[in-house]
Amino acid sequence: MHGAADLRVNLFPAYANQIYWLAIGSAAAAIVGAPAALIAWARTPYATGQGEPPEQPVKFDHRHHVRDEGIGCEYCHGGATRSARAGVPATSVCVGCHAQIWTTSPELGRVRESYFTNAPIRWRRVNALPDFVFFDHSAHVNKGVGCVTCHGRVDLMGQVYQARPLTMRWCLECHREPEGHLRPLDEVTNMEWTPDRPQDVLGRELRASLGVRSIVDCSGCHR
Amino acid sequence: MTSAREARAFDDDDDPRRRRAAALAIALEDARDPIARRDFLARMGAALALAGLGACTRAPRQEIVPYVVQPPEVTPGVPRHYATASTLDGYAIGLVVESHEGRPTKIEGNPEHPASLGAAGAFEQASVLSLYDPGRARAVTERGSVVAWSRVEEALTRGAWTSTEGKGLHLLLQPTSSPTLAALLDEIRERLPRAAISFYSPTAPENAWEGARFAFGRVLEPRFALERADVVVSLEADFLTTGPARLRLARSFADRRAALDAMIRLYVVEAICSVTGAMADHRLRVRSGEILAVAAELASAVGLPGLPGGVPPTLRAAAAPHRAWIAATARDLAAHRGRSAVIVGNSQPPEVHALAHAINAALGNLGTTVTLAPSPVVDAGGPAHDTARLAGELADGQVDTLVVCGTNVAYASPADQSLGELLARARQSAYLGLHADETAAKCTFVIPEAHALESWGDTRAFDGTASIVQPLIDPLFGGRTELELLSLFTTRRDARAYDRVRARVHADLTRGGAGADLEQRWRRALKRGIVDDTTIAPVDARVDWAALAKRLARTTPTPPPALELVIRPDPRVHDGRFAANAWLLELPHPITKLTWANAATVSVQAAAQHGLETGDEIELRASGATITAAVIVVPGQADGSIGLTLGWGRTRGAELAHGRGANAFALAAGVAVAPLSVDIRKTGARHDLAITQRQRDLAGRDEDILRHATLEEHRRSRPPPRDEGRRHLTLYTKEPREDVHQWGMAIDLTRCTGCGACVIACQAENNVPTVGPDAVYLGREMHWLRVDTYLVGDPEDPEIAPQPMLCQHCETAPCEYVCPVNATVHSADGLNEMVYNRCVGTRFCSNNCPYKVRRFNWFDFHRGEDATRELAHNPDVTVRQRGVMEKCTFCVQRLREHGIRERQGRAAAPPRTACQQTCPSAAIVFGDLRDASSDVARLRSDERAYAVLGELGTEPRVRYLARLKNPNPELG
Repeated sequence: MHGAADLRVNLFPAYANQIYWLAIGSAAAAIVGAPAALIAWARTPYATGQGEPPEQPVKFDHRHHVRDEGIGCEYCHGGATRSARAGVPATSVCVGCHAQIWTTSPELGRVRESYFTNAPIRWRRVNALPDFVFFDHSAHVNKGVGCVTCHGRVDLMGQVYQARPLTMRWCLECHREPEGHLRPLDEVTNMEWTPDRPQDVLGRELRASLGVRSIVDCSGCHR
Repeated sequence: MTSAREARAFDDDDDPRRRRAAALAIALEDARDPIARRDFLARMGAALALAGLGACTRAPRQEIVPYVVQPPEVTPGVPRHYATASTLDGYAIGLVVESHEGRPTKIEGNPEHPASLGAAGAFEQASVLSLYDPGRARAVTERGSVVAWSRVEEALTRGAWTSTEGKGLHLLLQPTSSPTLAALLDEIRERLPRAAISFYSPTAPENAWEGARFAFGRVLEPRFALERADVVVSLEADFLTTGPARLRLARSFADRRAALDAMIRLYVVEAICSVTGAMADHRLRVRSGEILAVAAELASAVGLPGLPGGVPPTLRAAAAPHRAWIAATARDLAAHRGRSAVIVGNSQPPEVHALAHAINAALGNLGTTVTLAPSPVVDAGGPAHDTARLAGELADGQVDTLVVCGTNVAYASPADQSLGELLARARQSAYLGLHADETAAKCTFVIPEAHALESWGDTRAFDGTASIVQPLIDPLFGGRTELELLSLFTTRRDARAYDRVRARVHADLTRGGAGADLEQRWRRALKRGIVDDTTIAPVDARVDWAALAKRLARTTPTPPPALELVIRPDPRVHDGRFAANAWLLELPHPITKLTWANAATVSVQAAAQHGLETGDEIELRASGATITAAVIVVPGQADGSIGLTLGWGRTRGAELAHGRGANAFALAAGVAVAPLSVDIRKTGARHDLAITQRQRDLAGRDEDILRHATLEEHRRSRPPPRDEGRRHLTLYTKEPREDVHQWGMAIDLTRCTGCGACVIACQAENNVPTVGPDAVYLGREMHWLRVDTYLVGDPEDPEIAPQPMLCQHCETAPCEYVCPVNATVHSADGLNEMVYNRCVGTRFCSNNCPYKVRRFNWFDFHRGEDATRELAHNPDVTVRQRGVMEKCTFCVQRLREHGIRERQGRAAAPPRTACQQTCPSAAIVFGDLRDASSDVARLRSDERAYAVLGELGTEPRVRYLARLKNPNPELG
């Protein structure tokens, strides 16, 4: 009987209830909030790598080559019209010109070294897609999707960076309604092209004439 | 765990002190265990909580490594195809190899090559994995230590034999048909006339060569034109999956099988169930040792008017119980004179081959369905193919320098020859091999061999057609070819294989008159994969009846042993040479469905007699040696025969296969020897056999699963029940779209032999992992395409009916409705898509799939793969990770590639799936169902077409065509 009286002492202070409710509340918030935060985080430019130029082994400047010298995209990235990959030019393509000009430039030391030692230049990938995504350049550039649509104004980039989010949602925006992003085939590599008619009118015409399909089957990109 | 162990420990002992000691030991063991159960749970909880944070890291930047100078023909991302050839036992199969930026990834058959006709078998398909095998020999070694090549060069070219015209030099090669190698060997013979050259393969067709000599007085090889045959009798010949023309014969047989108006009839006499036996209309199961009697009885029943004295009655006495069967077969043959063929297996003695030649001659088949021509194999049937001389010289210590090229003779030779032991008797020996295997262990020098896909060479097909073997990649491990190694013994030591092949082929090309366009013709030969005008013309051979009669009179039939051991080359590892190849190790045996091992096969009756069941271990005793093997009961096998395949029980150089299965060579057995008398004893041990299909009967659901009938039944029941008549009510409306392709497949079970080539083709094309025997045992194999083989009818001698089973791409797919995350959905062109990046691994889809074709990645099978092995991956297909479901996609990568090209106006031929492309018997047809003229649409509307489990209303896009047989009415 003596011990039973002791047990009636109140073990918890009055504010224990508040702590209890606070704990439950924050746990519930965490369950909803943590995934939400992760989902939101995955869409930030930091997570997608958007806008961030990686350090390249050779400081290749697209502004100079494209704008000043007027070299077209396909001179170096010719695979885009006939292959899944646009390709990065072989060292010999660089040397094609630089055997004549800027032959002693220290900036081009790595290029010369590559050419003469037969060791390829290891560029860092700018526009990376996950391994389960199978993007095909030829399917796009032959159907009126311009380079600039996905790569941005590369002609204005001193160091190339990823211009678009390259998330699946972003891809699908165009795949669902390609009309908004089509241009005549001869303007595909033009970085400064603007439609001479309202884009939706032109887009519908181009879609019909080029036979552009809205590919939203999963296996269109995931195989 | 602990409590169970404690209980055991306490139970086991009466002495309380020892019991306490045992308990203490267990407690100490637990204390030493760094992760106790509570810790484990705590860590697991923490890991789970932190797992989400893993997503907060960014993928590391990848690199792009362009060429320094890009070859003009290469566009990165666009694969290229090169013609080459693979060789097995000296005979070529022409191949076309897909290469991604210099990395061969996929093998296909060469449609222009006479032995391939566009098909490739499991061995050829899997050879690309052997190329990238990280376990290949990587360095030149001398007694295990790495040495420079110059050391080998110096050592091998010195020896007593240099001053004795080569006496003491012995070269041991695989049988070869290479014209360049033949020319090189001639060079060696000229320079060193006393050097010995011999050829060895445990599966060489020596009995066939010898049999031709009995019949015709010289070595000739029969070629069969099954497209012109109405009746074929096989005497233990598994001609659909073995032999130099296997792919061609499978095709021509299937073509005549599917021609219902002129369906070929096949009789097979055999002891051990084979793929060819499974295709037979009438299969006579007799012991292998009795087939001589059957052949003699058949010859006698057909009648050999030319043979003086007829077939000796003593020879055919043992066939008395089968006389009625043989008589009916003989009548059928006689009714198809000039349109029949008798084919004999390599395992049968020369007399049987000779009798078959005589029967074919008597039936007027020579020159029509059977033509005879000299062998393309160098020295075929000659003394060089006998290793007895080598064994003798080695035993006498007469061999100074021995060079072994590519043949793992220490393992793959009968134990009684003890060639393996004798190798060490040579003063010095060199082994050129892909792996540091059993033979390498016995040789002084080990030289890594270049894989066929790394080599320049040439080879010839069964009909002599020469092919250039061209490399797809530089030797990965600095391997050397046979041509380069053997050049050491010629005056042109440093001649490159390329120069030798080129010179040799140029000589061939100029034979018909020199031309200025030689370079162009060389390039054309390279591109096509065959060299023009190199076939060996058939000869007009006549049976030498008198000599044959003498021969037969001299033959005394030995009474077959009570229990015989029949040895066969293995359909997966052949004679053990493919035992390092995981794809082939995990390929289910076409009849037993066993993976990762071989087993002794016994008939139902023999199993009952000896009290055996599948999984029991037995001890086999034959010719003084003993091995143990697991047992598989195979209904349909001859009662007095035990079957065992070669190539298992390897001990070196094939890590994956070490200790798996039983080594038949240890019983002094080979393919070309008479069946051994064997004693068996049950040991009491059990084996967990990794068998992929345990349910072998159709449980009376033949109509739903595998429709089969005789041609007569089919004609009578015309038109058979059609699925369209019983379309089920459905809530789902799926109107096929007319604006895009509607892909579908038809599989003709009348053509399918169940050989398994499609399984490996699918594995290679789709980066399908292997899982190992333990996982297969748990039913976790990953094959997207499997071949179910059912046993139909008589439980002791059933019909064996294979059925390729893959994702049926149901139009109303049960898997799609149950996926909680939409990871499996339907595409506009009718594919049941599997989206790996969405899949969270609930496995609901697999549970709901009535065809059980979905495979789950229980582990990261590709993680930790060697960088070399990774090169074998198809870059167009995702490499799946743990926790993801996968299944047949109809090779969607090929379909999408085709679609992209088609819409750009540069489409080539219609797309084909990997299984369709490789199928030797053209049983798998794929195409667009909208096009009514397409093969697949035509087959789908065939009256034999049905959907498996059609009553479920899944509306599969894969349709099967019923399996028809053409039995002789006389035999019922």
